[in-house]
Amino acid sequence: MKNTLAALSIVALIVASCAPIAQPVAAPAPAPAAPGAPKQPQVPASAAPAQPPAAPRPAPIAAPAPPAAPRVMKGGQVVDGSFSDASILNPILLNDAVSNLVVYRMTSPLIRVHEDTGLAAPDLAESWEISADGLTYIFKLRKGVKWHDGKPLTAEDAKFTYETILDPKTKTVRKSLYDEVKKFTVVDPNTLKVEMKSSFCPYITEGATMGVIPKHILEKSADINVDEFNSKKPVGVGPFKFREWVKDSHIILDAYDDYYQGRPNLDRWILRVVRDSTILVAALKTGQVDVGTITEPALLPEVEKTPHLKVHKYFSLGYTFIGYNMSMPFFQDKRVRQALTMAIDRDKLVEKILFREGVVMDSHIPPISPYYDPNLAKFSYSPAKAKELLAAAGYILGPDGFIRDKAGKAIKLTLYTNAGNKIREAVATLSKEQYKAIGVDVDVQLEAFPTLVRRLTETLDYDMVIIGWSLGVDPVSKSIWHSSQVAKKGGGGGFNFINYVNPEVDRLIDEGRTVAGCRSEDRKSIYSRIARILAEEQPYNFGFAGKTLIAVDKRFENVKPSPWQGAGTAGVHWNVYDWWSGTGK
Amino acid sequence: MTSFVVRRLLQAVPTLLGITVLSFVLMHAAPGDPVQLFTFGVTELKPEDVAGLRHQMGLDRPLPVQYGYWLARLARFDFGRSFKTSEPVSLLIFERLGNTLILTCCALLVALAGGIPLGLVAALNRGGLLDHIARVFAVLGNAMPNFWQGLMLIMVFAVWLSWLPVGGMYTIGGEDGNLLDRLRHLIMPVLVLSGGGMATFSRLMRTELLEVLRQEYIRTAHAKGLPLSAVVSRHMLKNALIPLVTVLGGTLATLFGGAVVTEVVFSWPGMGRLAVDSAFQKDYPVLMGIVVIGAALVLLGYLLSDVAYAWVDPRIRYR
Repeated sequence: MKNTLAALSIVALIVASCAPIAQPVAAPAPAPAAPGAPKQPQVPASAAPAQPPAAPRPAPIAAPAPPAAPRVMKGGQVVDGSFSDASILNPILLNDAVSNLVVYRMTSPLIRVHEDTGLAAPDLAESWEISADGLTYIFKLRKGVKWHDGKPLTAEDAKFTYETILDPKTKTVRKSLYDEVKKFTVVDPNTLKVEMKSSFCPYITEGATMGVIPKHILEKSADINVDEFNSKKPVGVGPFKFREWVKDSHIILDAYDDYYQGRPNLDRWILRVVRDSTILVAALKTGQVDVGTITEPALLPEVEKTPHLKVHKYFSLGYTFIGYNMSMPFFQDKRVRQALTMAIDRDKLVEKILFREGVVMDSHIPPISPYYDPNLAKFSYSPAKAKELLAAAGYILGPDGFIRDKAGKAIKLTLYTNAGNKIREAVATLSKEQYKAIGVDVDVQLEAFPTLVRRLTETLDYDMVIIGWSLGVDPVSKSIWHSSQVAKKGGGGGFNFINYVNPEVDRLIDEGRTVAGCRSEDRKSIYSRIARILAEEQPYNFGFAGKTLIAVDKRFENVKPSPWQGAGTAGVHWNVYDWWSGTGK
Repeated sequence: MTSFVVRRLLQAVPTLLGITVLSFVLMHAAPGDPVQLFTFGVTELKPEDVAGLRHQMGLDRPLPVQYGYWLARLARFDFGRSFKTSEPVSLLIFERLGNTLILTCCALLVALAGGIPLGLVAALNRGGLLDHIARVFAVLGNAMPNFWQGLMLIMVFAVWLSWLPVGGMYTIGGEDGNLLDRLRHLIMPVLVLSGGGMATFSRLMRTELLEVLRQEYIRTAHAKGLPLSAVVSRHMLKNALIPLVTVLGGTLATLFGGAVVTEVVFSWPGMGRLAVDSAFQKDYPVLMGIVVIGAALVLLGYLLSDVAYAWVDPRIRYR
């Protein structure tokens, strides 16, 4: 018996030494994989074929031994602090970041957004192909994936997910993502075919990144909008499974033993609601919470001084900007908009308001995006140049130091933003002073966010606004820049509330979304042109992109921030299934 | 007494109705639209999708029709469903109501348990050091905002001394439901919420007791040789409590309002926070449900206050 055990142990050791190391390795920044390229199998180094014996020669100097791989400890839990509670645990119905965070720990989509490149990467679909005309997608699902209740995942579940979204009775904001789909077909239990009415490139990163829902549970539901699945019994295929939800207090998820990438190292992931940023910092310091977002940069020094916390800083897909109401004649002259941008010292804003945790933006596409083009027109801070541009546009300083139009009428503007957002309030206060320095008279109005939203989407009664975008993965949002999306008085338009109309940009947006084959290289050149036009025209002062600051207890290993907000890839949480606790707690 | 109670309960119905009409009108008059808030920033959204959502929420009907539908459901004790989560409003409220009641009832008990003795000590030591301390405490208790008090307590007892937890109702992932753990979590929020009430009660008790102390029957009681404890317990307190009982109903309403801030500071999963979130998100069904429940509880509080008034003062008889 002893000898048998010894032999088995030796065999196990040999087999183990041949296997790839279980911990993930950060992907080097590669050339983006072309969509449709199947995932290449990993080749373990020790599986290299044996070499014939070399001729005798002086022994080479032994290479230094590679650092020992850190020991992955099993067990423990992570408590994630959140300013608000989740609202719904169904991926097709949710519409807020916290619900998204929780749901995508419990379930997975066919495609995820790669944590480094922001491009499509395999998840439940191990590979996919897009036809040359962009009208047919074939997704090959992994075999052996199981729902938390033990039932197998099949292509029927994916088809059910998308068709449920399109069902008129389903109360979801996601229908438009599948508008271009003609038909979903299950070719075999692990193959889904999606046929499009016309080529729609955002589909792969916005449609196929939807978390799947279980057909065997929800097809029997009388009304999916109110099913207990949404709050009491969610079932997924992700690394963590639902245990309990105490509203406005916490959500507990337990590790799922049969997760297809292997059981998470941690036993539990807990979301804890902590409503206030100062209290969250206190909770981080006392250890009641292990992970928390620092929304006020002023609190950063205090957190960084805390010995057991590490602050991860990374850019995400969003920025804060000043939008100009281009239905007003004053803002229709490009020189005026450029002047207003040059009047604001955005480097100073980043330094004073964001404590240097941010970067100035010159156009709509953020620097982290693979579609970013650094060769853009820049309108850096220059009050003198700003005054020249205003003068060239016909606006002359009056005796009171403020500009007047050609008819001698004083120009007085109102700058709106939402009260309670300290960053935007600070930007408004500083901007008012800097506008004054070039002779532009600006009044600042703070109002509640619902009121501001109504002003921008319904009454259109504003001059300038400070607000921000949190963008999707696809580079240029049609609903923000296309002329068909101009906001209408009384409501009913899109988010082009600045009334920006440029036929060339319209054409490029449509082209970028429908380019045959949807190769990222082809789309990049299109989006570069859009970015250059927007940078030159300055329909916004593109302001700045602030870094997301997340404090994490240092006992957790393998924490890797990712900027991509796509499904499943969110900040530091995208690989929480692969974290481990150095103390085992 | 029974007919009095029944009469008051019946009177509460038109009062509640009036409150719901006023609240409904105010909610819809306030700027902002729930559909816009729900869909703001969602790209790729088409106007027909937005119209569909508006129809599903029932917001495409005229306002009187919306109110009528809501009232008809209310008659069946159905508060409707949340715009945001589609869950039944009654479930959302009752999941949290108990937590708020725990907080407010404990705060009320602590306010009474602290305010009455404090007022008594101040009255019996009029002009002395204890009287001054009690009066300064009363001023501070009313002047210091709950939010600031909460932050200070957290800094001192949670962060510096690590004696108490930062917030929540219990330690998550530990022994949920452990009584001692729950009591530890209750200490700071109850202290914060009871501070204002304690200050009010102590000032009121002091004033009333000073008035009672001047009465002839108190002098008679002393002259008869009764010990101070007997004079206080048998003659002074009961008479001084009468005005206190009348303010209890209003105090309950104040505590509910004050609980909102306390619930935010201490991450207490109560109804107050739900009310604030629903107001910002324009979740009308939830807001209306909270208005109805909150108003009903306040009216009940005033009724209990009146009944207690009759119990404390036997001269009061309701017909």
